[in-house]
Amino acid sequence: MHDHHARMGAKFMEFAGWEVPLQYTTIVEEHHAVRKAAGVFDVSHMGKFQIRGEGAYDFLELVLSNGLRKISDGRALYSLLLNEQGGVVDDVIVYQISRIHFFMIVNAATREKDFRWLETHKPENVELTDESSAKTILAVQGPRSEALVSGIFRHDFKELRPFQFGFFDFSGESVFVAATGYTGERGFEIVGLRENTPAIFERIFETGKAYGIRPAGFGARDTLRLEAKYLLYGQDMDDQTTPLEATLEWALDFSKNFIGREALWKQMDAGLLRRLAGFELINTGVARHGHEIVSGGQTIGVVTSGTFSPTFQKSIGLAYVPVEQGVMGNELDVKIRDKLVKAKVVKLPFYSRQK
Amino acid sequence: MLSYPRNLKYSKTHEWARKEDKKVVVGITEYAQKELSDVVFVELPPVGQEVKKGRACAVVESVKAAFDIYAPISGKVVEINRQLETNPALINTSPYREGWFFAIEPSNLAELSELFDSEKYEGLLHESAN
Repeated sequence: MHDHHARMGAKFMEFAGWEVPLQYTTIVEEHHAVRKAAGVFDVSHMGKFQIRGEGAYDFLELVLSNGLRKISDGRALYSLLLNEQGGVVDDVIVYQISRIHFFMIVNAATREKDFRWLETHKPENVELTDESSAKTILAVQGPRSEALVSGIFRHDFKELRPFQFGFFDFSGESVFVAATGYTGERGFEIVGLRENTPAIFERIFETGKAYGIRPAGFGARDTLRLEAKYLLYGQDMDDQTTPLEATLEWALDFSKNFIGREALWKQMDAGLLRRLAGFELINTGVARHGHEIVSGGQTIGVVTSGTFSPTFQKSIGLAYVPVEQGVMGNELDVKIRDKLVKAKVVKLPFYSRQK
Repeated sequence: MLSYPRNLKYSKTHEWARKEDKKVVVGITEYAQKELSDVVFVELPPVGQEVKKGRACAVVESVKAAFDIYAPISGKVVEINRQLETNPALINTSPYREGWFFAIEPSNLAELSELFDSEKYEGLLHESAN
């Protein structure tokens, strides 16, 4: 696919050992294309696992923080993998094909770690396969994505609601399509065999021309996901942060036993010390990962993700701060190089699409 | 096709310099603005600031990252492009004209000849691309 991207003018960057497109034209243009029309991302670097067997359901219920009872065949679930201390090993999406067959997409940077984690905890009657390099993922995102994907597969995708998935025919091949994404817009992720991907990519652009489709890179992927408050593992949370601190309590199902549950209960009893808060800069500047949060002359936290939001034309970001400092409207300073720039805590997400 | 006007001098950190009477106007090249992509803010040195050749003296914030801009020659800042405060995108749309950064009163004109001409600069770009 590298040549396909290069031909479209991609400028590459390194990410988790992969060479990925950072941008094709400009980050802002690609960002607006996704919010207003459609953009396509090649996110094939992500990990893809198959989990099969009689014990698959119970195994996943144990390792996933979120509850499979929330889904059924043909539906996907966002969840975390936690360690015994309640720290986040990774955030993943699990797709239930049947109660004995699941598909899981994990972050590229943690693929090996996640595989080892699952291998260590799985029982005999569960088969775990890593098919990351055999398959690719193209994410078509934006308000026009539904019409576009319907045109590509000659099937009406209006019925595929968010977090539903299915298998659809493309030139005789059965292709997995899920109504999931990382941009905050209506979108679809197409998982296909490596060999078929160039053909699908070309068809996306042929059909997509009429919809104003643009290839979009990782630069736009980051501004889009941050506006929609999708967290980035390794940046916004890691194995030293718990889901309670990372505002991910909605991805927990305490009604079942899962690895890390005890530790989280303990943390709830003791009380949270810090929590992720969203902020925007009031004065000129761009907050970025690693910038300190300062209040009353003291460093009280750190920016985990920050950028300049093309949609809102201001700098936005996420930071861990003491719980009492994370209240809406609270003013803080962000230390950018050697200057303190005023910021205020705002409600999350920064952006949500009009339904 | 990216362009590198012949009447300018270039630094290896992608700034250009244009001698105008008693001052030298400074900006960044077409290559640099493309690398930076969407510029959102520029921090210019204050008028009167002493700058040294090769030392960072301005910052460009793009959506992607913050980039240092280095003084191509030493001297004193005598003028800054205030238009960049309200319209930093000029750097992307007109890097050699409207997107100029500041003008320096040089303290050592010999430094100007240490900079590259357009052919040498273009050559350096091709080298690093390969």
